[in-house]
Amino acid sequence: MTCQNCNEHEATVVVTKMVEDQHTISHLCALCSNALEGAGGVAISMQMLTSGKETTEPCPTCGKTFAEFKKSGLFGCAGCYAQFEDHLPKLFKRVQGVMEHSFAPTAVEEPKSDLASLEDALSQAVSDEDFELAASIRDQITELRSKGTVTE
Amino acid sequence: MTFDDYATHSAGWLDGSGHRASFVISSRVRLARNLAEHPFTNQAPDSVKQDIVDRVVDAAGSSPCEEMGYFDTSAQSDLERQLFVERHLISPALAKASGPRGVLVDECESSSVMINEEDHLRIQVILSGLQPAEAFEAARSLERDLAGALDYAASDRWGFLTACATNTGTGLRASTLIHLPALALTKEMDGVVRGVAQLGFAVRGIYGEGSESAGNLYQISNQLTLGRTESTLLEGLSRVVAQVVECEVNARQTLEREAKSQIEDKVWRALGIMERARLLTSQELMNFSSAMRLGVDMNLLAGLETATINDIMVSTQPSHLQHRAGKPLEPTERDILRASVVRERLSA
Repeated sequence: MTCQNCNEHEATVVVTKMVEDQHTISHLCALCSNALEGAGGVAISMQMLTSGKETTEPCPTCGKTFAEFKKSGLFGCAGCYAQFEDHLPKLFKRVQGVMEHSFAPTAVEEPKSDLASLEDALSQAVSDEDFELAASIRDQITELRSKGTVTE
Repeated sequence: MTFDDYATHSAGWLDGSGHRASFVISSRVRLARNLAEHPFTNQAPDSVKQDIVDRVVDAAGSSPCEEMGYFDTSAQSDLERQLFVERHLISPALAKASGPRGVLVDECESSSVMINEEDHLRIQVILSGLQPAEAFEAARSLERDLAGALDYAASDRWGFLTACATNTGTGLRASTLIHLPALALTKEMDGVVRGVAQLGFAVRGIYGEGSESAGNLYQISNQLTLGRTESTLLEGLSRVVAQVVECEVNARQTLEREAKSQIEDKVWRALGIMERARLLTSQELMNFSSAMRLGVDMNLLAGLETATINDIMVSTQPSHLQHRAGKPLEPTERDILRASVVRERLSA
């Protein structure tokens, strides 16, 4: 079978995903499989995702037009995100299921409470079948809880 | 290390160590990053691509990752590029791209940084077994080391800005390569694949006969990158993989209970053919390796190690064989050399 994406190379990978509540099975060559890794499936075209009012002004930074972006599915530079911003919530909703990231990229995640860290360690020890370690962690959790100073 | 050193030694992530290594061959994490002030690779002329290569290589040279070797992909031969693809050091897309591009690689081949793939930087870490969180920590540390001299494109609203909308946000793709022979033999794989897809993960099988994946190897990776923290994505992957492994454990128990002789026969036949064959196609090698891997896990093949099977799997791929022969080989010549390499590895 030839690749369903490029219709050129021999398909070597079968990819199964959920796209808009439907299972999709794609037969792809190594190149397309790699290029589309994580993409919402070959069935989704950027045309479909970004239909509606078009931004006519090209990106002032790299010169990419919105039509070119729709055709290739690739932003041309960081400036394209600002230039095409009005279209992006809809696009991300379809591709990623959410409209924006809402986590600052450099933000350090809140450190977990002692109890949460211990519970993580406990489930790891159990899945490692290290029951001696698991028992000792369970004792520490009990002790923390009995002190009544735990913030969960 | 020279190219020949990389081509002939076994990569660290093939050593068969790590959590759940009987089932999970490797965990891979990659972070997509771009330089804020440069057009993305798809809009960059060669002069800009060269500037990006220079900046990233300089940043690596003045950071704790100074010991990584740099390989100029644009100057490599097709065979050399393909060999790096087979070792998972570069992607097929980087091999096929044009213009200035390359890859930084550490000595044990766990960490690599592709420059000028779809994004300016693709920072990748591969570890043996199920350890996506550890692979992520290593990738993040590499990313931070490079950030000392580089300014990554990011925004408060969209997170890290990538060329494709499917990577925006975290730029994180985490995947595991899993060996699931019992689920394939008990015909339960389709259900498992659908279940995993339903949870927002993609399953890739290597093309084999019928609906089964060659070598019963499957890659499970996150599909989504936006609106979630890295730890949420990694924990989700670990949880899904743990569930799949549990299904495989149950299927192996069923097989041991109900078809022990047939399984043992399959394992021993595979070993017999691999030890004696004079011609081996890559498809045969994948399928016999799978049976032998199962045999090692079930303690049937004493003295054989998973690391040997992993090494055979990589070192018998077409470009590795041709590099070893020092010349291009026809398919039949490759099958002859493949069989010879397998005999040599198994008798070592």
